[in-house]
Amino acid sequence: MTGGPPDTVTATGSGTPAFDDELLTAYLDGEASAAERHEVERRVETDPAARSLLAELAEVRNRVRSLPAVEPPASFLAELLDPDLLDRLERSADPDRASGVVAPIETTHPSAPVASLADARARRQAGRPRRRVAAAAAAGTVVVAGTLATLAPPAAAAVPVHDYMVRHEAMVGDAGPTGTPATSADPPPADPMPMPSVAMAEADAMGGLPAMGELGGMARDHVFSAGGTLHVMYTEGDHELSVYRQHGRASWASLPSGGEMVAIGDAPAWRWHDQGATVVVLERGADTYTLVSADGAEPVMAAVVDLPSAGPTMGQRLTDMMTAVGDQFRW
Amino acid sequence: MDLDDPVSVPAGPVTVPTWEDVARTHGRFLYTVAYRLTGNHQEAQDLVQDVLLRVRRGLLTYEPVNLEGWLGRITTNAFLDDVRRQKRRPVVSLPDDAERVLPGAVSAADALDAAGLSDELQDALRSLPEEFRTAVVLCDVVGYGYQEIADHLGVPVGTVRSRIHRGRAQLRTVLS
Repeated sequence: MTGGPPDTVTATGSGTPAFDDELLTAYLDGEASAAERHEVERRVETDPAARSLLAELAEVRNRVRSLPAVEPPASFLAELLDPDLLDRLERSADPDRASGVVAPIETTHPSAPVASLADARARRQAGRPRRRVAAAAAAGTVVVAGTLATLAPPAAAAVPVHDYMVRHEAMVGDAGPTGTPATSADPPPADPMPMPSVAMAEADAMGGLPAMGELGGMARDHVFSAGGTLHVMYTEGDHELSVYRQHGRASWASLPSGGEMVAIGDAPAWRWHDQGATVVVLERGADTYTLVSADGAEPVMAAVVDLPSAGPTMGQRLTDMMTAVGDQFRW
Repeated sequence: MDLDDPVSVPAGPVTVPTWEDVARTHGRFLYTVAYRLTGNHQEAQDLVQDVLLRVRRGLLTYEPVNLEGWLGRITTNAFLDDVRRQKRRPVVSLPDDAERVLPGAVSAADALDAAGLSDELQDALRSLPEEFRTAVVLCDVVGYGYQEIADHLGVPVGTVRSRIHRGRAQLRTVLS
């Protein structure tokens, strides 16, 4: 550019008729009129400065247009799918509607490593320093390996978490198939979703099951199947774990309130933990898995690592998953 | 965000995508626009939250024409509202939030964000005055034409052309 500073409209070609440099930009963007295009083309033929400026503006334009998509932190993407997020944001956006004060910082667990979006917003609006979600994610080593944009359009599956939990409780009761003695004086609840048992040979023929034969060091004990849902029970010592598999993506909106969206490895996940019971819902490949244990987080944590996944390499996947899972289960 | 500021969306028959649909399919695009406008991840996340609320309301009357263009417009609206709010915000009343009050005051964390996850061009983009950066992002990231940008920003087409030109000219100077 031969004219003035870049934040002023300049004219190229000292000693030649004035020329508005903005025409070059309009020309590059296809926004110049026919007369303007003709003027630009005539100018650049005779004015080296205008020709040079056109080339430089074109380079800048191309560079901006070539900027890559920005990868959001996986924890942020996971929270976007939190079915409760919108309501929490509404409350934090309008604190007067929410009991007259900015909502206090709330997380499912006080040591949860993933910052809550609504909480961060509430802090921002309260004029306090905002928690750096990215920094928190880095500290918590939530593995960033995927984006929402790369996920296929959802064939969302409602996840009957409550029924899964009750069925698990029924199965591990003294009348359950595992033979594990009940630890409570209360009788086991009725099974809300009876499912016929599947022979192991038949189970092995079903996709996905071989990889689940051994899960987190636990042995496959029983397999049930009905209505497209697979239920596999694993045992190891006194630990019992139920893994439910549904085809399709999870409908996060179907999950009950009280849980928390997190990122585990390369996928969003939902976790819930209360009084020793642990539930994790996560997507793997084209399926949704729900893991239920009444023996704390440990069996679930170990099993999540072994779930089928389409990671880049098995070694990397396991490394990433171990790191991410370890962080997510520091409750 | 000015919550009373309605989102302008086309009227007509309603085929309502859910936020989950939007987030899964367009989340990356939305975040990219937010990041290019704000220049750092924290503010991009704040901005996407604002957009989330606007989309929730706008989806009720959304007519599926160009969802990404619509999202880009909402994102820019939220960004501009935030900029206006920052300009109105008295510095002395929010000493803990100075980084948002003082344009150009870059926190160490934000600087690390930009250095680690962006490049020289992103830094240059971030250095532009807001009105130049917005015009360039709408043109080169969202893909709007001048008339669309003019309609969106409520300024003449000539002003849009000037802002894009001056924005690119500044980028050229910074990058040279």
